[in-house]
Amino acid sequence: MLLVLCFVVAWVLPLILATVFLLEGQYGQDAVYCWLSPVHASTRLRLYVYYLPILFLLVMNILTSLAVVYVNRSQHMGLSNFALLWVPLGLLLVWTVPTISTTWANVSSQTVPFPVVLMSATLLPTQGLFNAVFFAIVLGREKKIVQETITEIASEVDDGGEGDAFATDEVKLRVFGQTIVWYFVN
Amino acid sequence: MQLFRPPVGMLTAEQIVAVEWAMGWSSGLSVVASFLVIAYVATKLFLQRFRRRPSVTVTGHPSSGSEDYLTTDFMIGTRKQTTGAAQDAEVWLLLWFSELSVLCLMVADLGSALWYFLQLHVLGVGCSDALAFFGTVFEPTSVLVVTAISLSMLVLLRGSLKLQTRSAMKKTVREHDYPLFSLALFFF
Repeated sequence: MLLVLCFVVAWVLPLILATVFLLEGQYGQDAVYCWLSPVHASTRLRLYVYYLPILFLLVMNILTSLAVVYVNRSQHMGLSNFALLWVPLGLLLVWTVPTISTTWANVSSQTVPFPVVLMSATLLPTQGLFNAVFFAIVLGREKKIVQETITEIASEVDDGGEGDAFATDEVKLRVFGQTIVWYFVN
Repeated sequence: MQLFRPPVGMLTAEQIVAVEWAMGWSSGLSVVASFLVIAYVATKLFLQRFRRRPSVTVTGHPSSGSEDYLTTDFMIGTRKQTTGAAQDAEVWLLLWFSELSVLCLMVADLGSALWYFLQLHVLGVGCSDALAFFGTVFEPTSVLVVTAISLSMLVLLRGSLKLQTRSAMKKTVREHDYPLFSLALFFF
């Protein structure tokens, strides 16, 4: 239930922010992009409400992934550490240059160098492509691995005794945890 | 033809063409790729709903959806006896939920990529409040969804580890790592 709530917040929060910006009339052309206009929305507003929270989330994602890698290594979970770092590395790849570009544009009076503009324009839209390619890579492995895990855990549970009050919880946690890990990081 | 309109003097005509070309290809490919994944997962979920879902009732609780199962099983310390078929149903629901997570992420990515694609005015739309609103909603959502997923991974891996022994299992069922979830919500 709480996990569902996390996903709901992930959608509702940007929706609320976007609605507030709309009601305040802060949209317009900003160089290459059509979103918060520098004419209507102050640099501070864009920095504090948009860029800094995203930067914070990126850092948090990286720290979380490192924590997962730590758990994986210390407990010999058998997951690939490189794979575990795949998603945060992708986020870094997509967001680093655009963040530098935006920060540069907001804090410096000098024009952002063209290579940085070009890289930003190329990298930012590739989030979907990046995730889709990743999904395609894990797709072939997912069915087999998940099925094997379900079978393996089910047999372990059977060995533990009929009607174990906590057996189903173990199955659920392990299958769900490992399935979502395989989907995104294996 | 100059498709987007940067401030005068910011970019040369050649540079504008290069940016348009780069953004057009990357966003176009993202739109197609995201859409294909969404179509695949949505079709799979649709077919599973009719073909694989076992009709099971967990003691006293009708199987009315993933929320009921997750709420009942993860949040209440005392567990009920379940049949093998009920276990299958619960495992199936968790797999279904993880596929929904994929769907959620790819929809955010599709919206974001579409927004970038529309920046180029290829559909004849100029900068409008609707387009800006669209982008402001979808652009950060992808990052937020990834955050939710990575936190889930950490919580679930920790939960999985804690279920190594029976005593630890009982403890986990009681506590459920709620502080981590609370922390996640605080960050959002």
